[in-house]
Amino acid sequence: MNILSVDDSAIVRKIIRGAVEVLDGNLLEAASGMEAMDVLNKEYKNIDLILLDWNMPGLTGLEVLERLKADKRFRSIPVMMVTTESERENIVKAIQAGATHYLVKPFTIEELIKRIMESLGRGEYRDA
Amino acid sequence: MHNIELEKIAEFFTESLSQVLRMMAGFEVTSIDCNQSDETSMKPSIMAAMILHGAKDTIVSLAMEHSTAAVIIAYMTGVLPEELSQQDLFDGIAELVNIMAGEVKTMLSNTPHHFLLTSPFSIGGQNLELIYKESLPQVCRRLMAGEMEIIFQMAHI
Amino acid sequence: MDRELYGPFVTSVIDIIKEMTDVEIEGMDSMVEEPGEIPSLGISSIITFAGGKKGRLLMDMEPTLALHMANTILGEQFHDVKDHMVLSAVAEINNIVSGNAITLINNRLSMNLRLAPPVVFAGKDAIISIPKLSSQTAWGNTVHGRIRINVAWEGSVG
Repeated sequence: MNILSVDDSAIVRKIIRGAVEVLDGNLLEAASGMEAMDVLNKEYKNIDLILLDWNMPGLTGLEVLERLKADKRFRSIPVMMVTTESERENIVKAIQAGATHYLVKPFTIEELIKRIMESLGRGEYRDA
Repeated sequence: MHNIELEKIAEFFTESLSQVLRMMAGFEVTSIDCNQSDETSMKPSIMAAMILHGAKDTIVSLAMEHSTAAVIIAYMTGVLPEELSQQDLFDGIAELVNIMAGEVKTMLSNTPHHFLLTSPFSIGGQNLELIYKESLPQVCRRLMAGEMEIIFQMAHI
Repeated sequence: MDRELYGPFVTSVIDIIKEMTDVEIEGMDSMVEEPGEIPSLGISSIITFAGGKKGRLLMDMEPTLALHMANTILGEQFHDVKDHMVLSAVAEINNIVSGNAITLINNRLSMNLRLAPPVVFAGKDAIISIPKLSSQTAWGNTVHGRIRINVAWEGSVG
């Protein structure tokens, strides 16, 4: 499984990397919306899930999401927002724009793994 | 200057920070008022802050020693402290402030104390000082987990 | 739109500092993208603005310049750059520079921006890191020391 993490925080990307490694997946990283678009242009056929932050330099997560859903190459890739934006209004905006899941920071690593599995439609993850 | 409203809002922040540290790093922290404790010997060398736009503009900040930041970020990421760069530490504590402020923003969203977030920033260096008008209401809390100590400060600006 | 969002700060810092302290800033004629960490020149002040868009101005200068400007504005001879009055003078200059720039932007782009009060910080060998924002820096020189402004806006610009 290939997951693209789009977050300007290197620390959050490292946390996500830890979770993806537990799932034996491969993590691609982008530190901004523009970097994400570059990665997607090259790798979109191989990407199974995008984890997207909201507040980033340049394009916001919502702007990235809108671009993804407007492009038929990327439209079918599930997107989970991973963000501190936890007001109902913003969650609704993201879902309306096409996010399939929404995870609010802070989260435990177990919760992150569980939500990644759900986003991939792979059922429940059980810690060994 | 003492301000009951500011004290109450500060409680939201310290509770949120405690929760973030518990969930993401596995630390249990205790919090005490800086004025009710002996003077700390801790010399902050890294600080992260965020300005909040609301009915009263406010700054919140976290300050700690590099070693404390390294341990917290190490537990959050699973990366050894010695393998973390200075940029990782700056990034990590700015993210702590971001998460904490994001939570409190939601808690206060339908109250007169609602606010807008701005981008967090980090500062590293010796003898760091943040300066705002001394007469304005401010709150200081020491958060401790074992030997580690974090200073949380909040002030109307 | 880029020029309309960044340019007013350059114009404003040059004009206001000349007007308030009679110090000429030279060389501040272009802005460059600032990557990652910013080593402080000694005294830094951050002011944020919100409204139609969120952003902030970081004004950073050498202690010699901060002292000279404070002494000129306050009409006294301060020798310690960490004196509260000196730092307050730096904050006030940032406030006026930002206020002036924001007024220009509001008038041109109807962005309804408003300022929060400035925060000043000082520290030995301080390094400033501002994730989540891409920013542009303009450097300037004066006979009393160097100054730089760093402007950042959230979301896409342009």
